Amino acid sequence: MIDVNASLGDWPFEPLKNNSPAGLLRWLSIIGVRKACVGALEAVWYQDVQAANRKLHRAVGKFRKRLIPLAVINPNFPGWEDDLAECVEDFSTAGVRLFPAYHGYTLKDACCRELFEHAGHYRLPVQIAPQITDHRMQHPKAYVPPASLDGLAELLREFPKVPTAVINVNGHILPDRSAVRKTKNLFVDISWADGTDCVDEFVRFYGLDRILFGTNAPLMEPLSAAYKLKESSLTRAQMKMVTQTNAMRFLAPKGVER
Amino acid sequence: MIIDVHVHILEPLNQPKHTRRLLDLADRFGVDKMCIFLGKNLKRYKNAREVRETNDVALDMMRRHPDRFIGFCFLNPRVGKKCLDELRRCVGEGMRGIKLWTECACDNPLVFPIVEGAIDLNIPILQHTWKITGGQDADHSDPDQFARLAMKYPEARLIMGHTGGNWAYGLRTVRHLPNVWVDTGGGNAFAGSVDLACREVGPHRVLFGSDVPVRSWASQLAKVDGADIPASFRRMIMGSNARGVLGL
Repeated sequence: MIDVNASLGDWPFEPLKNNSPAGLLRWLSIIGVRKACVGALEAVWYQDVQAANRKLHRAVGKFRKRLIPLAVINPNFPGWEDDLAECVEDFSTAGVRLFPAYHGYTLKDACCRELFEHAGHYRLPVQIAPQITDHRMQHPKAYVPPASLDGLAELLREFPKVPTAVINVNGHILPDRSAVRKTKNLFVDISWADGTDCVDEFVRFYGLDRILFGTNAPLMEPLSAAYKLKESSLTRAQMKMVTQTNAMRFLAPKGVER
Repeated sequence: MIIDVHVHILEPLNQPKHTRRLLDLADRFGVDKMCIFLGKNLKRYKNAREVRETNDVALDMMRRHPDRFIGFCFLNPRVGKKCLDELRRCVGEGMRGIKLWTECACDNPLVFPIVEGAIDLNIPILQHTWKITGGQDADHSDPDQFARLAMKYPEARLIMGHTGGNWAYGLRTVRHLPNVWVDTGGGNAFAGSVDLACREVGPHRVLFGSDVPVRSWASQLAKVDGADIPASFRRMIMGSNARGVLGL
């Protein structure tokens, strides 16, 4: 199994367990995850995300066969192009993870479009996280409501060769199906899907080939995503698509060890 | 035995085909009994007729599957004196608790006769609570209001729904109130939440709730199954605490 939505590092509002490479992998192994895409949690809040990306690179180190590093890039910060270049050239990053709500831009902004241009140039997939914690439970002095997904359809159409995964989505924040129906490069992960039969609903809504297995660990309990598969009516072959094949397609521009 | 103290029978779950699917899922996750309330739909401020219809859904489910469903009487305190008539009707037909939602804040005097009714009938009240960062309307109860109610009526058995939404805040608010239990249902399975609840209020005051079908047993059971707690705590949370609160 491949978890496309995990992180390493510290979170400013509470101590986390299993946020080191060894701890995360041990935790994810309980549910059968062999490989996980990881981004730097600190980068969500850092103004200069690159310090966190460098820390992630050092942390992944000897765990490289199982941890797939993603660069958290803030295209709304000067010099982000250099950050991305360093992540590609020096850290062999496998993709980009975006937090528009935390970094102060929208999917319609020119900077976001430029980021997608660069991702296309480097043949990198992009993850968009409209949220990472439940805004209703956030620190009152650090309130970040979810980012709108307005503009997503245009990005998908303009950059059809950039596989784009929207992660941490639920009933309130979902890509508009009608807007993305004609695109082939959209994926969504199940980490935040919820409600009875939520995975089946996602499959009906977006199609099986767009669904990715993600946990949002270590902020969330990985067992949650595993139980959602257990609850679903997916066959063994369909489950393999969600937990492996689709993730490999998403990561295909750079590829993962097959 | 797993008892889920927080399930809504929203339409069409009351239709036999959908009830069967719900029970199949419950079986798959080992959920033996469900406390059901606020059925039909989640419209706020139901009038007396709508409240009665809502409770009729639960009563019907109880009759059809008495071994699986435990009814809680949903009440809108703004309906007035008819509330107590509806409470007596529902308890007379076998309901074992009261559900209060977001019709008025729980420290509003309109709620007091209902609490006194619950004390007389020796049944618990599950009150929806959520401290919402970013603001909430005046009829939405937060943990502070819930704590005030619990202090006013120390003889009442009160369940703080959703553990106050913001678990860290909610748990602290009711930590020293022995007549309060917390329900784990609702929200994502954020790691460490049940561990925190056990530390703050003790495992004997934590009840498993899911908020199905708004949430799934998948995400909600993961909170408890994934917690770093002894098996004895898990057994308490999953069932034995609820048996005590419900008098089963």
